[in-house]
Amino acid sequence: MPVATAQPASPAKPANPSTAGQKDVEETSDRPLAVGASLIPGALVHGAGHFVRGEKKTARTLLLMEGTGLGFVAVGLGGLALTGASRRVVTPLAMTTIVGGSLFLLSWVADVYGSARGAEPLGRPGFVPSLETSLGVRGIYDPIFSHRFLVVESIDARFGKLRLSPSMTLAPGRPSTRARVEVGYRFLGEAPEHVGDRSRPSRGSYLEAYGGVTHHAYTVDAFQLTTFEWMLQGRVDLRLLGRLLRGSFAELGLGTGVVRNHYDALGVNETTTLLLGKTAFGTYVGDGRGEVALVYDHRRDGFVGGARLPGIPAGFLGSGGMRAKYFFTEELGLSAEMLFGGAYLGGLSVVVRQ
Amino acid sequence: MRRFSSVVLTIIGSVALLSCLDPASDRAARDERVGRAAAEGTTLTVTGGHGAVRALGQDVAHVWGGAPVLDIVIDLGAVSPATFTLRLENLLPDAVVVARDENDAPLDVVTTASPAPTERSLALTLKGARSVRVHVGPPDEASSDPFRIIVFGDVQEAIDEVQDIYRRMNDEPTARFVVMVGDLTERGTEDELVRFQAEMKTLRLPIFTTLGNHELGTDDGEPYGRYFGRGSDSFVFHGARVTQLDSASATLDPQVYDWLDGWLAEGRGGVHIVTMHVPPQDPIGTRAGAFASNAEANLLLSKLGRAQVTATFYGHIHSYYAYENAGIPAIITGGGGAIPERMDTIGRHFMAVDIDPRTRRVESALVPVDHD
Repeated sequence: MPVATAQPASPAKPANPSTAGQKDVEETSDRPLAVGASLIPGALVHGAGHFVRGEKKTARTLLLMEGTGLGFVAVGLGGLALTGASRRVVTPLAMTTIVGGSLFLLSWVADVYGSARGAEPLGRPGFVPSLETSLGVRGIYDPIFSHRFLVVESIDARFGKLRLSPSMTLAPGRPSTRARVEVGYRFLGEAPEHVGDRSRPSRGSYLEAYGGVTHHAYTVDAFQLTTFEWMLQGRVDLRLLGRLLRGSFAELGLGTGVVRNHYDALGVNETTTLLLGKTAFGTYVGDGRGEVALVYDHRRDGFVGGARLPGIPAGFLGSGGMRAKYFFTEELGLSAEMLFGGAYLGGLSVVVRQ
Repeated sequence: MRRFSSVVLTIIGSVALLSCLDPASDRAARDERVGRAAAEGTTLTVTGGHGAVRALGQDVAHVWGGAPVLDIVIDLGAVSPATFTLRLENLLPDAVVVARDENDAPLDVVTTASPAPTERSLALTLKGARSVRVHVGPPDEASSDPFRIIVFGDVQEAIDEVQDIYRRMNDEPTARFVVMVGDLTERGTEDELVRFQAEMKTLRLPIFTTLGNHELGTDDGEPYGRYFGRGSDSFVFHGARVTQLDSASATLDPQVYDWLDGWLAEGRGGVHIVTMHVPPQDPIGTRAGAFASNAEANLLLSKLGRAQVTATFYGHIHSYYAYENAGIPAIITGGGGAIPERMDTIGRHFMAVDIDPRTRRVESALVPVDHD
């Protein structure tokens, strides 16, 4: 009679490290101290909060990120100061400053987030839908323009690595229409899926290039802006930096544009250029349900424009704010945004994905 | 989650506070008060706000001129002094001062001191007058003959070398006055403004100026207003209008747009030059040395274009650029010595601008100060 040989039990597969609901750190009572440290001295020494929570490797990574960012800012701003913002070098120096400023801010916000985070991440990345449409309204206050409400509609359609994203924004009270089309190509990142097709855990990281055209007609004010632009943008899941940052992500995008300014009553067309840069820090919410992000956008065309700052540094910054999206069902959700620049803008959209 | 939410809200609140929508509103409100003062029963009004009242007493006043032609109304209190001492600075060197009482009878005006070509101290013999109207203007103020002005900007920290520029300006014998497009100082402190006005004493011409973003470094430009007057103003000389706008915050205040609509209507059909510090558009767009909002920039330029503004002059960028905005000839002249734009082969400079009100012709030429 053959002897059954007990086979050793297969080692348990490690749980998906980025699954919401799965603890990946122990509960700890030092979170308030860590959050405090991430603010003071953390505002100057990024990673202080993670250090208090015992995540020393992540703390060193964030500090390195801060140092790199400051280095980029020093090179960028220093170069701008030394050259008097020379027309010959201003674009790469300004881009260097934006990258440096982004790294600096992202490392600090990541430290605050990780310090405050509980035992579980807030969420994990969701799938990339093949089709997503949205329709919503925004309230806007701009002391110069009298439009107060905007209707916003957009479509994101993905065909493999390609993305086609038309959108339109209308200001009914004071006729003004902004129509935009983006065509993107995703070099790296998850392929699009249909609802119900999800077969593998999603990763949020991606790298994409897009080209876009925006036409903004200010009918009453008798001018139109047409912007032709390109951007290289990407997102990195910050779980790569440490376990307290699981469920969070950082984004960065850089590009340039050409703006055609048309003055209706004058029959005049003139061309200017535009520097594009944006950054964001966010967290996924729920099990692929949604995300929340703090954003900065350097562009100053569009309804919000750049920040009207008091004092000497007037005119140099773009807009900042928050965006969020959450799906209550597999197909249906809401998105929200709040932006502060030369105007205050906020509102909601209904989002449908397939 | 609660902690994260509170952090998010704190950051959003901070960004919102930093992103002020009306950074120039206080300055526009101060502009409305420029040119008016009351003290010891005496009130003084510079018509149109075209001058800063630096001091006022029962029988003495000090006014810094903000336009080539000034009308000053002095209402005396219960007791009319025998003599009123009026110190006027920043005048055209050939300005004539005429004073009349409330019955339009002429009053004696004696110049007691003239320490600089643009400064007069005057003794007005009142003969019991209760109200005095002082008119300051050149002998040819009613003419519409062609004339030349000088335009420049952005001295800032280079105040120690500004005499080079003023010496060269003094070599322009036909120039009538100077228009400055802002950034007189590095931070807009009282010491810096006093120094700037002291250095002006060697210049034989007055400087009519607006403020730049660097003047906002102290109390949102409040000292600038006390020493130099309005940030936004408009005056006429030989039938040509010169409008200066406060764009120091990379935007115009809504109140300034209201004033501008009136000035554009009054200037239509003739020469109308508009100046401001921060240009609506930077010819090097990626540099963004311009208005914070592209849409606002185009709104303003559309207004200027439809009003047939003849030429625009800007500062803020420390070089020279000649281009067009909304079809209007535009010049950036930031060559007053502040950290210069490198690799542009321009150097310190100012613009000599010839204006012919009859033919509506405006021609500008760069005058180099540094010779390599």
